[in-house]
Amino acid sequence: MSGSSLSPGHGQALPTRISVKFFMDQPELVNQKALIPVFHGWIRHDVLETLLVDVADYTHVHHGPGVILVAHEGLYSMDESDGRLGLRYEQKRPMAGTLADQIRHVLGKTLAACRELEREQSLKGAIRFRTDEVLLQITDRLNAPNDDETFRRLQHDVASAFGGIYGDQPIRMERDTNRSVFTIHMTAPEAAPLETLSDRIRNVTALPP
Amino acid sequence: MGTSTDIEEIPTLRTWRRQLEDRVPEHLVREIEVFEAQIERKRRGEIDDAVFAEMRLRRGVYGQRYDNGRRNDGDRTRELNYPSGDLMKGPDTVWDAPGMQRIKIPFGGLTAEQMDGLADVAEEYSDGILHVTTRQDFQLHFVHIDDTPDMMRRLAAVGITTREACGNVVRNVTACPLAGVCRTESFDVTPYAKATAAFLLGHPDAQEFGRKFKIAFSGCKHEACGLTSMHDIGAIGTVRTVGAAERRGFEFYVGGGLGAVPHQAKLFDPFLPEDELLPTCQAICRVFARLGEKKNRARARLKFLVAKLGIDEFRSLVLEERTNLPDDPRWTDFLGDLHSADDQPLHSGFTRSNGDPRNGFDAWRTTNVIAQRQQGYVVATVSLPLGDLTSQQLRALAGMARQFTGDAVRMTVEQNIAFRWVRDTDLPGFYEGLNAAGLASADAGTIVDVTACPGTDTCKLGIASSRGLASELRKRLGARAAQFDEAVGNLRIKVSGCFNSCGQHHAADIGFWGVSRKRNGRAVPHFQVVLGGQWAENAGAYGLAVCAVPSKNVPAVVDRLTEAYMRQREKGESFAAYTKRVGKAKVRTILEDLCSVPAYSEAASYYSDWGDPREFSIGDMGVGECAGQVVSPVDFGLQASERELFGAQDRLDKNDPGGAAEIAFRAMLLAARALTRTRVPELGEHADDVVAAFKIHFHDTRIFHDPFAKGKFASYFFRIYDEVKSKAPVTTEIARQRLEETQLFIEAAHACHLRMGYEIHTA
Repeated sequence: MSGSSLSPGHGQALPTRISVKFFMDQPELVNQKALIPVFHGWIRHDVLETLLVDVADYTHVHHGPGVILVAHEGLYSMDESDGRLGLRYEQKRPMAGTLADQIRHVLGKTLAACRELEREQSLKGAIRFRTDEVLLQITDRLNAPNDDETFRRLQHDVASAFGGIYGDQPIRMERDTNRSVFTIHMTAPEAAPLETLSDRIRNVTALPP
Repeated sequence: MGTSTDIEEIPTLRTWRRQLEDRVPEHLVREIEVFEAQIERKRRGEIDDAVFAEMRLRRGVYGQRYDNGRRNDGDRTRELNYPSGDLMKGPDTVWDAPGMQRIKIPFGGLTAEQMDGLADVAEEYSDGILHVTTRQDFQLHFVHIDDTPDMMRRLAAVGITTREACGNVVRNVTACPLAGVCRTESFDVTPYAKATAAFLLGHPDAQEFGRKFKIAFSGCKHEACGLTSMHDIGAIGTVRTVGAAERRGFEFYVGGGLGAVPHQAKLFDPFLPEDELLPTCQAICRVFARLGEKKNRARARLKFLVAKLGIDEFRSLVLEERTNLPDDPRWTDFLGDLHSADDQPLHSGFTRSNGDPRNGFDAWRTTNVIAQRQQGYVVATVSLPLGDLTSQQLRALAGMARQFTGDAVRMTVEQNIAFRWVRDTDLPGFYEGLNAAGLASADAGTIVDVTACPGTDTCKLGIASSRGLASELRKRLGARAAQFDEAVGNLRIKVSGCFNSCGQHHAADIGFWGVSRKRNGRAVPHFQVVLGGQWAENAGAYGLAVCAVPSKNVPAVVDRLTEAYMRQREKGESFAAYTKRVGKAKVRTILEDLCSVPAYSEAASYYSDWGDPREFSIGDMGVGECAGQVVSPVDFGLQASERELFGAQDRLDKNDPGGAAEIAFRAMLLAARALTRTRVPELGEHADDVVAAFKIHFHDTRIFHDPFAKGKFASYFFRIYDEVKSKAPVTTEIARQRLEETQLFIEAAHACHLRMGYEIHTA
């Protein structure tokens, strides 16, 4: 086990299963079912720089993950949790690097998928994402229970990761205490263009080999 | 990042093993550690692929579609290049490929704590969705095998084991979800189901089977209840007066099962005393392990052994084995404590008051609520669309259990969740809770509540999209539900993705199972329409296939059948009785035009399945090329065989089993000859010649072998040929089974024809 992946003094490995969700602007314009052929097309044409495996349709489930694009490393879903539609990417396989690196990696993958969806011609521009609000979750009850201690331990890395792409904007991070998993609601006063965030994340993301 | 064993060597590091060491029973700790060690040994190449596959199956760690590392994306079959490279978790099963975790819930009984635990693991290790199966299990999909030991630990901490959820063992023991609260039951079978599950779990006499083994308990004979007729062991609670005392026992059945060829269970004992339940089960396990088929998986279920020996000989063997068993106190220990498994209602009951009519509440109450035997309480069923719910929803239900009922929740084989001991006066509040969680659909047990197996969504054996079809049917029928009268509204529709009947289509009023057909030079997803099944009477009768319909026409089939039934049924006539009275020939006439497939240029959507935009194909079967015929002689021959089979069904309906069996074999010969003439154009019609040539050119070359079922369907043909030659007597049951096997043989012939690559693309 790499020493750099241990959180010193706490007896815990770095948390895993980090996810990021960007919310849709005007979700009423989106027919989720239309994403099924889009995601199948992404598999066929290797659109994302990751091994894509399959598409699963859960649009019949209330406030569920909607349509999922299953990748080896994680899951992309047009997620409707709490009634708010957005693209969520959750990293399922372990990663190397510091927590900040890993969050940036997940941010990068999410932003890349968001950009592809915004560009997708068959959707005729119906999909646009807000960038002034992001949901970060860590679904790891062992290493990141949703409590104040976890927040104290991880907030610097979380802030560093977001700060790297939101630049000088005074972002606000609020832990959602009502959730079952560690959840940070990040808001920014201005909505930087998706391309800007995407370009910035590409410049800072480089996980150790 | 290191392996779990590396992590364990760091004493200060938090692991689930350490976190839960006080909460997981010692024997489960050891079991999970053994499995974890097996995973490490497999990584080091120290365990054979097939051996490891059986090891993980016995922990409920299952494969999923595309886990061979290949997937047809609609254009071509592509390799899925997982990082695990050549490391396999079974024959042709890639280590990194997502898998399915099956989680047994004996008799479907859940506590609130278990619901929370299940919600957590679904969120962390799966896609956040839990799927309720047709055997009261949960299934989680897209699970990585590396995550399974910790998942098992966390489930064990809330009293759930995944051991023997899959594999050649005793699977989940199921029971009627109304056991203990039913108005018509003889007694609560819950403690008996629980004791049987505990007794047989890991039992040495239940480890050497050639195939899986399924047990079900019912409290009633005439309701659907536990569906005992379709299980290897089915036990219906019954009471007999002996002297002055009432004694509990079971009407005890053996040798039932669905699968490709369904068998009704046979009566083993009209009254098996309760204290003989466990030793008899054990004796049956021993006989099955000793005498059951092991090499030919197609004939390895208990139903084939019972059919081969006859029930009298089988019974004799079991009773003899029973006398050899060493006494085991566990056989009867549980009888002194039968009420320890009783639900403890959270609140005392009240009699019904006039409900507060709310939007949707009345409709929901009509369909989803039934009164319990205990006054003032009801059973409220939560409908789960396609058997799915999110982790958040399951947590919400856990909260509702804590608030309204206590740990009195049961999963059902219709893929729903039933809350017992709901006070009638609490119903409005309960309904509001369901509404808030998005779980207040008013359709439990109705025609809208379509049951479906996972099918091509995730199952390697799926031929057509059972869930895609079920979703479409739910949407359309839900929109029309108000138009249906009670008889139609209560029809049961069940869909399986293939012939293996995991959707239990044989016992439905209207059943469907996925097949493929070559039409206009392309593969087209179809479903066989199955009519004549009976859900009541513990799955009292099985339906037969009437015709194959393109998948996209199935909703129209349902419309036609339900409209015809509404117009033409006689007073009180069930749907099965109606179809029998009308006759399958007439039903087929009603559906005939729906069997055809438009040209690709007119309706390309027919050539894809529901919910899947890819051009339909059977797994990784490629599409070949051929010289310019749209309908080949093989197609003609296969169509002739289907017509002949239909004639056989008609004879069976007219109580002529001998005639039915004879015609069924003729249908097989037609299908076999159609294929074999591609190799031997001059082949005649004589059965001896057809069988011999088919064997040489299609069986021995393995061209006819199904990718998964191998030579199973060809073996039906050869066996029936021998039976015909020996003039073996044909009963109604034998005739029915022969018709089923003929159907499967014809399906296999279609699939073979497709694989042979006689396809062209026509405009």
